[in-house]
Amino acid sequence: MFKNQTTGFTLRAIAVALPFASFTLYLANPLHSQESALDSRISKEWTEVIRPILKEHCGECHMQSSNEGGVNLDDYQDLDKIRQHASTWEQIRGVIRADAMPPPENSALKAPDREKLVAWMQSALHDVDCGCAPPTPKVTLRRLNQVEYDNTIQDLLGVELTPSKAVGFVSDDVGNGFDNQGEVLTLPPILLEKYLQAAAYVAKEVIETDREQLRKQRFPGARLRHSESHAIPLYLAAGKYNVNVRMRFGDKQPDTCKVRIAVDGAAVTELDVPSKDENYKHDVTLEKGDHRLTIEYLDDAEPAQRNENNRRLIIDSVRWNGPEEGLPAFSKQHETIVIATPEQKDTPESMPIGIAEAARRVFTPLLPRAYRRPVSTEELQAVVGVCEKATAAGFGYEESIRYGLQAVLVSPNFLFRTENTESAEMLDDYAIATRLSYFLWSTMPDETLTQLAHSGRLRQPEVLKEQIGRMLESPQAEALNKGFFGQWLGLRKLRKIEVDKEKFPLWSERLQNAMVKETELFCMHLLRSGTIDEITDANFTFLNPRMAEFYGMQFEGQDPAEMAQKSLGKKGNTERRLGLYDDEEKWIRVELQNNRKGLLTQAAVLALTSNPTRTSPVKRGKWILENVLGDPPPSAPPSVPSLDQGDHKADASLRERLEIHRSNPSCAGCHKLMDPIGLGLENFDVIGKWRDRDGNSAIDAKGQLVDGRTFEGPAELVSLLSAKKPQITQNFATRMLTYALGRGLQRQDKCDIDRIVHHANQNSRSIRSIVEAIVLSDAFLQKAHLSPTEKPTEAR
Amino acid sequence: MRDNSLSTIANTQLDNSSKQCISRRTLLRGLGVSLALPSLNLMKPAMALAENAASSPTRLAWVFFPNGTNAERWFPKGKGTEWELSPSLEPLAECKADFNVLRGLAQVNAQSLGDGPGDHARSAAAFLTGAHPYKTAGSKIKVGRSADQIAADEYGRATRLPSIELGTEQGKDAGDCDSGYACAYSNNISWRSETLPTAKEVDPLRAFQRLFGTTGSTDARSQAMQSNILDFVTDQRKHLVRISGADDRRKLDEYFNSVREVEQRINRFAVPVTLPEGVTEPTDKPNGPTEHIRLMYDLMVLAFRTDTTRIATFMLANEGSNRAFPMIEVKDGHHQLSHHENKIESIEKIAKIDRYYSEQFCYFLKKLKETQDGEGNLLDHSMIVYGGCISDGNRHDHHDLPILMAGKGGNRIQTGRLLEYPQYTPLNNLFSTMLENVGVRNVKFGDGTGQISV
Repeated sequence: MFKNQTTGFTLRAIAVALPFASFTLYLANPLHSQESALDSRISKEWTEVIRPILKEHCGECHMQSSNEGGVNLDDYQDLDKIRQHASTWEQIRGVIRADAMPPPENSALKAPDREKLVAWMQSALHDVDCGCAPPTPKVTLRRLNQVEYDNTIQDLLGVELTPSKAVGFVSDDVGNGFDNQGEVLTLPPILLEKYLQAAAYVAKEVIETDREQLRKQRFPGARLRHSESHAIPLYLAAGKYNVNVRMRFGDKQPDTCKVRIAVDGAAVTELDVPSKDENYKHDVTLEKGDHRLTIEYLDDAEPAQRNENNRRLIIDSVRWNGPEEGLPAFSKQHETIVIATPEQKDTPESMPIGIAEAARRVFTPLLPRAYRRPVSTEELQAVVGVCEKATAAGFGYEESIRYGLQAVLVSPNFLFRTENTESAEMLDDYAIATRLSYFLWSTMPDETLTQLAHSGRLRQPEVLKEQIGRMLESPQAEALNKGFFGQWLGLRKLRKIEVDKEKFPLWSERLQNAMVKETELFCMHLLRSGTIDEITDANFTFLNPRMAEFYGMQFEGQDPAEMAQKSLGKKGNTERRLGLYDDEEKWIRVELQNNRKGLLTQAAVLALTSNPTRTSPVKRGKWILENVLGDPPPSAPPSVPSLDQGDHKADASLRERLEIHRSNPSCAGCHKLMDPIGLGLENFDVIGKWRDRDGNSAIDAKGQLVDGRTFEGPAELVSLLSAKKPQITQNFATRMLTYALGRGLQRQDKCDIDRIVHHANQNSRSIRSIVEAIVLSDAFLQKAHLSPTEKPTEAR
Repeated sequence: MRDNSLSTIANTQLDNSSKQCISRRTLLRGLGVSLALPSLNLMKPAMALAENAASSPTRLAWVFFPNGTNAERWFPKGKGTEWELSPSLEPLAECKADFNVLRGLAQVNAQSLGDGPGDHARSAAAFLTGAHPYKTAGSKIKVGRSADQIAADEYGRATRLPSIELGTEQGKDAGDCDSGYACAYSNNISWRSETLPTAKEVDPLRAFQRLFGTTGSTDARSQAMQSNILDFVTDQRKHLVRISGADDRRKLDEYFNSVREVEQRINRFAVPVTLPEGVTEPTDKPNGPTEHIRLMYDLMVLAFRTDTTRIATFMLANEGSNRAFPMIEVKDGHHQLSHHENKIESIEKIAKIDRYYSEQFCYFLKKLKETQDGEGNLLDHSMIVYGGCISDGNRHDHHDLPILMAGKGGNRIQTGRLLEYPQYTPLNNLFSTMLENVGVRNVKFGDGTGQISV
């Protein structure tokens, strides 16, 4: 099904179809590389305006022989040098903008000059002339990370294995906030050892050598409530089988319950099962293929007692024996892969096809899927060669296939996402399918994407959009939710934070899981049908009874406290909560009350930034600036001046204590950015529960943002933040593009970001439109705009 | 310590009569995923590599602690042989004659040098490299080769594994690690190449299996297949689709270099390690940091004793680690405390943590000392650097570092002294001196300028 084929679509055809106004212009002169007019202007301003201001106000400590804090501005003579040290200059811009530098106590820098400096640095670090066709930075070859590796193994071979855990991979490093960044996904020798072990483990799990042992299978039992059933999938050869279930009805129940044993929905038998363990054996004759054995707890003689704890169907074990004649089937994944044997005689000469031909037939469909692209005869032969060597060494056929599979799973073509370019600039269709699939699903492309790549249609914008829609609707989009939102918001860290349980007795693993689930459901909604606006404005969320009680809300008209499962204490009449709720797993969408809105007031997000015993308004404020607005305050200086302990009373409120930050001029600049936001959320305690008091002090959640706008409490604060949609949209697009590309964004990427934001704005800022615009962006579809001197080189 | 720890290792005298091959059952006990490995072959008696080597090789180890110290309490007072242990080093009293404290050493490349905040990331990255890490959140990570890996290239060739890298904390799940530095910098002290951190093993069980199990197979034909697979892989280079650009080539070089290294080792892996009697597999889930740290120290003793490797690095925690130490009544995070703002309470707690780490290090030294090795004991035949790359956690100084070196390096070093070097002497000069002592001659790397006398 794979063969090379050119498509009828040229770059220009896409350019016309894309909704980005500047795109065509961009392609019109793709190799222009002279210094743009913009850069000339920025350079000119540097010499004539900016450097003189810096010299006057910063020179004493940061020029010539002085380099306080390790910063000497004389190190940066021109624009290129400044851009090479962008992170240093971001910090400089940050401290100047926040009035933290020059030191406020003796600064003569006036506001207009300050604004000039800040605006110039912003422009120098971020602006780019998109008409001047800056080259799209390349994505460095990406190794599969642990999640991608496990998912890919599962989808490639149809198994439920997590080799990274079974073998114990060393942890992947995180870069740019995500764990899928090509540059930091390194491959030291220890990891290669792990890959070799994992390949051997997977090959052994997937390919069996002894089918005789499958004649007798044993499965674990289950404990069923009324109307539940226990299902066991089976993959069988045709023949007569015997099923043997050992079970009983509760403990010491006087009566019986009705049980049905069925295969593929058809009853094999119905039984009245008493309270004494017994084996129930039945024969059944089945065709070759997939089957499903179910044991169902049908009915109860005493319906009124159904929900009682001791009226359960207890299945000890399930044995499955057979077939009576002939060989048992291998497992399904084995048979799906090992589709030929050396003994079969389907050649014209009716001779056994032999190991080489059998191995070739096995790997012909498998290898292109493993490499995520068409493969050459030579590549196929290399794998067949490994199998032949194994056979020559005396291994049996299945073992030889195992060795072939091991080889494939440690090949760089499997472990790395190698990307072929169709032309000098554009990825080929298979590479696009792979990028799309790992972006949205963290796994290899499925059959549909592969077929589209094969037919050359995948790169059509309409087809890509349709696929994005399909993929976001699929359950596999959970990978994007966990991978992108989980890391962007830091939800993965919630399980590691420490909370003082004595002070916050509600804090439990169940509550943490529920909080994460609430935010995950909300983010899944955002992905599928939500908008950027809902991040701050949504007047709904998703709750189960536990979260409803935590938020002080009704659950489907019920008081969730009533839904908590209780038991009578041993002494009789005191009721004790059992820790679970009825309908614990039921999640519904609910309208929020006035005190919460959107993502920022969800418990998971609020709890993330807390200290064990108290909230941290500073951390909360910083978190929102950094992660939501994409405008982090400058990092704290290494040596934070000491807060004078004597300045406040021992029982001062947190707000009073934080005032010290703002009364000290060298702290004030940055803290006036962070603290008001955090203080505005003080109505939420360490674990995100609403409160009106903190200890003895009433909560005062009033405040003023640095731009002068004031608010009375959390709801108003969130509405003020909501007015910053352009910033929120830009930040979201930046983060998601970083995740999608697997590389840090550079100045040149601003053109793509601008187009993505523009596209989003024209589509009600829907998250889906951002995903679409990312996939259709230059950076995503194209490997690089090569300059005339840089020719792609063949490997070696 | 639990039964399944390695605590008996060093107490068991290694003499020929007590040598025995580990039984398969013992090794596989509790090994849930043992099926992952084709087989672990320790049963076949064979000549261990150790016996082919010189009688008492010198072992090198670097043990790193994060976040700096309470310098006031850490540094001892005195000079030469006339000195007193400081409060934080006091747990090492039993071994005072077996190590030197070295003052005045520096890693200036851990300083910001214009790169702004991020001292924690820079400290770990510079500790063994003496190089200044390139500031990046995720592109083109680069620092320099580390001392242990320079040693591993030549000196590590004789043993089953050229070096081992251990730790107790995984990397982070999300976000950045320190002020715009990629997490690789904070999480690694060992750098195989200037762009490739060696990655460390934090699970004692996995580390044990890697050191002493065979990941290859028992019989010749299975081993031959392992080689065939590596040949296949090596040959893949020509099948790789068009790879353009230096970054892609660097990534592939990483891969193919790793293949080559594993290939070189594969024969050594087929030779079983003879473990002392009584050694069993460690747990994969240590009960708290103390057990975790001690198990890792046990593994180092065992690896040195069996000459499975001669070079080890151990990160007691990642740089910037915010671990709490409830067992010594320190419930706040280490990193948070290290920014102590000169608060008495915080400074006291830091001293407690420093002392705690000294206690664990003493455990290690004692084990080494109790283990007979050739004509003397393991500690006599080792050079163990113990220290960090920040002097005072609040100030983030990277000079006058807290460094001590234990062991006599095969009777080359006189121990039991407090040595003072001129301030800002590159720490790398100490490493070059160590390398010289094991026959890796004339190495100058990072900001090193030569050698120092110890």
